[in-house]
Amino acid sequence: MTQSAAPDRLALYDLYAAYGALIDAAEFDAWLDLFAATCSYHVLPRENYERGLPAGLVYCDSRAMLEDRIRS
Amino acid sequence: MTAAIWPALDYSRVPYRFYHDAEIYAREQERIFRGPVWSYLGLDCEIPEPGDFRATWVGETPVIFNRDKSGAVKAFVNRCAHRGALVRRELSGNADEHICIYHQWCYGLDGSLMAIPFRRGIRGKGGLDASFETSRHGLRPLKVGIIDGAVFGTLAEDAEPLEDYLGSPILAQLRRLFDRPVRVLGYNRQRIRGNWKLYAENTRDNYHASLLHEFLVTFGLDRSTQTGGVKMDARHRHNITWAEADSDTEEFAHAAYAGAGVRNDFLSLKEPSLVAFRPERDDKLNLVVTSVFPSAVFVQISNSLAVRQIRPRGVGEVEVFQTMLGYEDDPPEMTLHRLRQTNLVGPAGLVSMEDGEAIEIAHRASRPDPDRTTVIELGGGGMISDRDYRVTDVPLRGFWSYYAELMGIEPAGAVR
Repeated sequence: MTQSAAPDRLALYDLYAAYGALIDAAEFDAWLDLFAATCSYHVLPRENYERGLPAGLVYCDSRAMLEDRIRS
Repeated sequence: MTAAIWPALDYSRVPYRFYHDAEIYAREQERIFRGPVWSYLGLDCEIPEPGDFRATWVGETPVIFNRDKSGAVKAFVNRCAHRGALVRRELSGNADEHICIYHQWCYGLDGSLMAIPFRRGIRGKGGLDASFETSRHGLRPLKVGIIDGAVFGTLAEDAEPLEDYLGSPILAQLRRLFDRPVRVLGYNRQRIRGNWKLYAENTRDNYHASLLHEFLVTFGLDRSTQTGGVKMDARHRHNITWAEADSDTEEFAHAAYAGAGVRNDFLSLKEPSLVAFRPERDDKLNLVVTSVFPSAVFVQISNSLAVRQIRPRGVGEVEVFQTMLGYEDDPPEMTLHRLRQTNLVGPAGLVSMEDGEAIEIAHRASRPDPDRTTVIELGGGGMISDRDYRVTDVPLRGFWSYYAELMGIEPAGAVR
């Protein structure tokens, strides 16, 4: 761990903390803001992960899709 | 239980008892799942190499299907001849033999019993008598039938040939779905606290689709205003629910559904590819749900393709095991499109999630009153026949008709 990586690490901790807190509070609009426009959000059963299979329970490859998922 | 259980000879009334009675459930396992039906086991492409195997189910009976050294697909009950233990506990794999962990009895890829530890005992003491015939103690075989890569099995020696069992309309739909080699994109499982027949009915029920699933109506994936209908085999035990893309106008559909009290104009999508239909054949079908009695459903919703296997788990619970498919020759962009559309199905699916809830509330609320009945009369009662319209649940009566026959409770004079 280099000295210069420490601020990045703290920023990541903050991101994860906000991510968890916003889901717990069901504040999905704010949660969505944590994602870049191009992103991946996959919920994959272990059965598929272990076999290298891509399809899962949720498959979003952009923030727009993720937003649709939340709204629907 | 006798034929007198039916209040109507056209199966337009089904007593709730059928969803909740443990004795009826046990009889279903014997007469239906271990009876003269063909059950979907899996796909040829899931076991490409000799020794490849997968574990599956026929009702509550655990089953293995594998490819033997000659390349043939074999299937047998996944239960050791010795103590009745599950032989294969993994979901899939590759092996030269199947060995039970309990006492290491070893079976070949044809299910035959090949080796028994300490068969002659130790120092001449113990073990099995010399008269013990291993050839009589293999894994119980299933007869196997394959339609363009879809593997079916039956436990009944006297089952009719698979092609005859399916009938020409069903066969034609399977040949359409499997007209190119498929590949598995993934699996998902949905555990529903409801009787398995509620699920079998749900997949034959045209009427509910666009009323329960607002998402389908709004985006025109499945609307009763579309050109479509239901088509069955001659015995009416299976069903194809079908609809054609772009066969209704937005204005007509919105007006019709506004009259039915269904809101369909408040949703819009940021990423419309989720619902975009890309025609893949020279027909216009964008919805085809092919239900094969008792437990298989082959599904095309837009460009999402899947096979669902209905796995009863006691009288009050069912697991829907879904295999999501693409074609081997799909370009990467088409695979991505199909992966996006997998969001429609499965336990978290924008469509399938609602079916799970509907089945659970029907199961829960019907339990206290076994002698009260459902009403199955959309599209009219009486004769069971194909319909070229969508506001109908007539294939449910076909399901019950064949169900009654297999259960030995078909009333004299009942419709078929």
